[in-house]
Amino acid sequence: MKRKRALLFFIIATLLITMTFSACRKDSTDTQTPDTSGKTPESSGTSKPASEGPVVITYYRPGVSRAVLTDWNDAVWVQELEKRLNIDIDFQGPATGDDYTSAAQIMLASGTLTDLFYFNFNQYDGGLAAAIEDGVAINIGEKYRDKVPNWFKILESDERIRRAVTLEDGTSALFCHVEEDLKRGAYWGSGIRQDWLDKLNLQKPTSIDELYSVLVAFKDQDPNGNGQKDEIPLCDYFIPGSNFMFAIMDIVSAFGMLYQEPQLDPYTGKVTYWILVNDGENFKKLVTTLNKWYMEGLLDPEFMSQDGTALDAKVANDLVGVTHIWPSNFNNYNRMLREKNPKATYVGLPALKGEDGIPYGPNSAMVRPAASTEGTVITTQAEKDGTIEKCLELINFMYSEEGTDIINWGVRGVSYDIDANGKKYWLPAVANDPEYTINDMVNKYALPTFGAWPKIMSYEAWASIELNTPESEEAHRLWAEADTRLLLPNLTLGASESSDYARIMNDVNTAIAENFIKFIIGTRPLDEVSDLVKQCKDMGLEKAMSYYQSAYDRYMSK
Amino acid sequence: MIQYGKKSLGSKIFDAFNTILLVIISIITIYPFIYVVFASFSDPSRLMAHRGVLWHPLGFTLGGYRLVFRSDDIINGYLVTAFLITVGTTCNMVMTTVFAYVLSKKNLLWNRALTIMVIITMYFSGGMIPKFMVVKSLGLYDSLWALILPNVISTFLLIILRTAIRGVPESLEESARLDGAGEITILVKIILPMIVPTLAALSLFTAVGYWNSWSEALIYIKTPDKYPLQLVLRTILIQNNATSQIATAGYSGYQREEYKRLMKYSTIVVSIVPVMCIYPFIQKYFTSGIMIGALKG
Amino acid sequence: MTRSEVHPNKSFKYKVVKDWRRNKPIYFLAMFGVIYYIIFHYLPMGGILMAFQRFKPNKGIFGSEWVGLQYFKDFFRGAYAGRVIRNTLIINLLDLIFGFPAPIIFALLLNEVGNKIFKRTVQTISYLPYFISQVVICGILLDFLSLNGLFNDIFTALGMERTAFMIYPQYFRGIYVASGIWQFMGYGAIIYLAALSSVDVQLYDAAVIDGCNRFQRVIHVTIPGIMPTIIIMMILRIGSMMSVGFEKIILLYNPSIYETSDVISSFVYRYGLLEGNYGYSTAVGLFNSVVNFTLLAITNKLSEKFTEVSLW
Repeated sequence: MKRKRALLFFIIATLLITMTFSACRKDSTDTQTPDTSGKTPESSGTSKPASEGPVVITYYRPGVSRAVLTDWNDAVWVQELEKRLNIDIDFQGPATGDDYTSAAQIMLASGTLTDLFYFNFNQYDGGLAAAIEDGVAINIGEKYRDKVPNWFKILESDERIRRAVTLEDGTSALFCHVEEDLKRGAYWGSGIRQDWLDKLNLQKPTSIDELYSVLVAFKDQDPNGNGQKDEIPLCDYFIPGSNFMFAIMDIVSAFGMLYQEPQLDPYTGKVTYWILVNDGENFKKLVTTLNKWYMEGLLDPEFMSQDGTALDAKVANDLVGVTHIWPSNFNNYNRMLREKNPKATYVGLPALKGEDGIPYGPNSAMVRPAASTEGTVITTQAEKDGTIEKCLELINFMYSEEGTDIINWGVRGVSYDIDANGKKYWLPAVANDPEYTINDMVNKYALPTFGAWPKIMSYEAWASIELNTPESEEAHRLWAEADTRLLLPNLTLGASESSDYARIMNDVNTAIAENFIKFIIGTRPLDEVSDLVKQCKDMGLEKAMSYYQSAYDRYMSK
Repeated sequence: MIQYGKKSLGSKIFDAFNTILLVIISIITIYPFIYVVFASFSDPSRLMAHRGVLWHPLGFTLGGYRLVFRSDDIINGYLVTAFLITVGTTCNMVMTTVFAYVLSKKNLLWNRALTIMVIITMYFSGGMIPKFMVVKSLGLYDSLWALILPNVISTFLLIILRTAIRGVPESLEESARLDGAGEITILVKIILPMIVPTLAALSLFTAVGYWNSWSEALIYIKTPDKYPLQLVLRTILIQNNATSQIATAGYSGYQREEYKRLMKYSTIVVSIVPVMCIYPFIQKYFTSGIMIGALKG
Repeated sequence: MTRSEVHPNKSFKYKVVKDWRRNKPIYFLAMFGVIYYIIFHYLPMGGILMAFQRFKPNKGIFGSEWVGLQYFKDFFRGAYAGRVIRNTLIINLLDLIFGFPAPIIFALLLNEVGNKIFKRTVQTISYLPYFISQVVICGILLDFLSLNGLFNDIFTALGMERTAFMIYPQYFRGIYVASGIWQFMGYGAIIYLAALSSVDVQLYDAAVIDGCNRFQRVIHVTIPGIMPTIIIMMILRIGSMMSVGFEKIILLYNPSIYETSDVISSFVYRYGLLEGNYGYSTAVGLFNSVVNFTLLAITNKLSEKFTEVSLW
């Protein structure tokens, strides 16, 4: 027994010693980031004068983890930016999206800042204005306007962008993703099985009533040809944790309402919430219709309790007629179905018309020229570190034409080139890699997709990557035709209003969400809709909307 | 169980039922693991279309695993976690055992106060922000010790250990004291051998805790080289999530996109297998009885 | 005459000095643990004050604006405060009644197994679900519970109707508690197995000599042997009656079953999606802690009275 124990102790001791040793060794070497030349070891908060080598800028932002890229420093476009400006960016921050917010909040709350900091300031108590007041973000417009001319040129040239990214008093501190072309926003919507329509000799529906007949036909006439009436004409899923149901979201808008978002009333132009439109009449029509569809078996009975994998399984088993489509679905759904049935195709369905005869669109990205609540700020840390000049230079360059090309396309001659007509195209290194698809490979060289970086988004670059099937191109065109009058831009509430708003809306959303389902599945009679409307009003819904209304008024008067 | 003499009929019937019951329980509880293993080797499109019980892998592919091991980060992850487990578990067990020994002494005047002080911390906490500030001010930001020190004594385990120590007959301690043994000697030579099963169980919990941890590293560690294994896996998993809203339309070779779904399962298998390999060695310490008589004298 | 008789007024001070002299080495050992708790638990505890103020990092804890009980009022004023508290308590109660004994019974059953290999295999297998991430477990569960899922297949084979379990509120609590047993019974049993291993074999020998049969041995030796562990675990369990972890709830619930599934943590989580202020969640957390601690103290006192086992 004693011998055994001694042996065990010896083993543990050896393990400990080797581990500690290797950990210590790692400690001293880990400050060097992998590969590429010209890198000096970084530590948060030190900078070097330009004469000694590249200036180190610290940047806290979500990391990257893709098939071809796990470190921003390895991206060709980042390296190009660094080379041009003689800087070295030290990226900090966790790689995952959801966790990023909580980690970043702790950083901010504890006063641990980096020169550049990416954040969604709607998650900051008091918003961007408070961040400036608290000494976190620098008011660039006030102190360094002339150092970032490219950015302010954009603001001056486009009214909508200016309204979106500046605060009411004209303060500009946030550098965010800016859209070149608003129609890029129409990148999702609902989709339908074109081959089923063809088989049953039907036209693509453009209105709710037409959709109803199509759904009935799908249900009764066995378009998947297996002799069973197992089709699910309309299918949906929700993301655990949120109340969001996507196919429903697309249908709700036909009734002049936005699903669970403040919107503009289509009849009065005021800021309102879906259940209040037309004093609840539209909501009643919506749930009556959905209830009818549910009772007739046109809507998946589990539409509200199943997650994405269940929906995917049903799609893969050739059961689903209409559902919500993300751009990637045109590929993975269609390709998978075509393995067994070469004609199977999901195509985009345009925004449907309801009684009002207007195809209201549900996608607010269509009116938001900039991702204006989330972006990168230059923090007071940059002033302390002395890197403020370089930070301003970097930001300015990122919004220049040259910078835009580098971010969206990469390096000319390496990742892209320009043809005789002046059109840009991807070179084989990106497009024809034997191991990786173009969507994967492009990330090593450029960032043509939305990536939460300060940049001007190039529609062309994005389309060349994302709209690469005829179905997705057509769908995108159809979706972009939707009417945008319900949609609101990004608004920020005042500090004292936002907690009251959150308190009221949490209650309201809970009430609406559960009763919405109950009305649809019939466990609550439809004539009680007015009771629900009253309940929401009693909870303070109108007051909450008035907060939003003032935010909107302030926005429009900027 | 120790069998004394022949079994009665009732005893045998009980054994039969017990065995059947335990087998049923085993089947039910092993299913999630089997499902995960099968799914991790399955062809992704067939997996997508499948509902219900998985009786066998659907096709066979190593694609999911290849994606998981593609980056070198995994190796770093294993090394970091290995460090945390060896050094961390040792630190935890030493600190917790010593303090549990202190708390086990009922004749200590301040025993009650100390115990209450400790239990309060189980319920009241200032949250992550002040904790982060303390860690930062100690200079532990971005150090692996930030993943060990702030939780080096787990109050829950402390209580369990204290209960176990109190279970050791006082006569043993007294006779050792009469022989002139000091506190540490008593702790090491008398108490520890008597609570081996509990020590084994708690070491297991602590080690598994380190193995599974990722949320603290998210906040305290900024150098990706120092991410523990689970954080590396989680990063790979979430960023490659095929249902994420960032458009990732595929071209030829689209199947690579599909393999990302498998990663959800491959990462779990990669996490479990090493634990299950070592587990049997620790298990025997808390599943077999100890003979107090044999240790005496 | 003893010292305390000569100086009766100084008996407390006398006790302190005597205790210190006698237990000096113990106090030395205690020092490390105490320092740990002070640095990493008591120092940060000031963060609790954030429940009463609009915390601003540059102003720090003592400079930020005080809002008093505002967040508490916000929470309790809400239309659903009562419901989420009730759901939290009911789920925990069900879990206490069904989930708490499960690992104990399982450990006892395992203990009765003679074949070492069978025993260890079953124990290892039972521990496995603990390692499977909550996301995957809930995914499997939702799949089994769906209209065409495994459970409905079994029920129709037994002649019952197909039910969509996750759209009607009455099933949720049972599903939650039963799946919890499935996930954690094996893990929870380890503590009890360790306690069982520590029972002195000689007690069994003595019982046999006194004529106990197998089952009497369980009742008179085994169970009393692990009773302190059971009681401590039960006290601690009651001390978390106000806490239901939000991750599993979020992964399983949907609006049609909010009635029984929406608990304090999931409700606060949805609030947090609307606004990023710490005050609200810290306040609710503080309320939870106070109630939990009170329950703990009461249970501890009762346990002290009726059994001799208590936390302090």
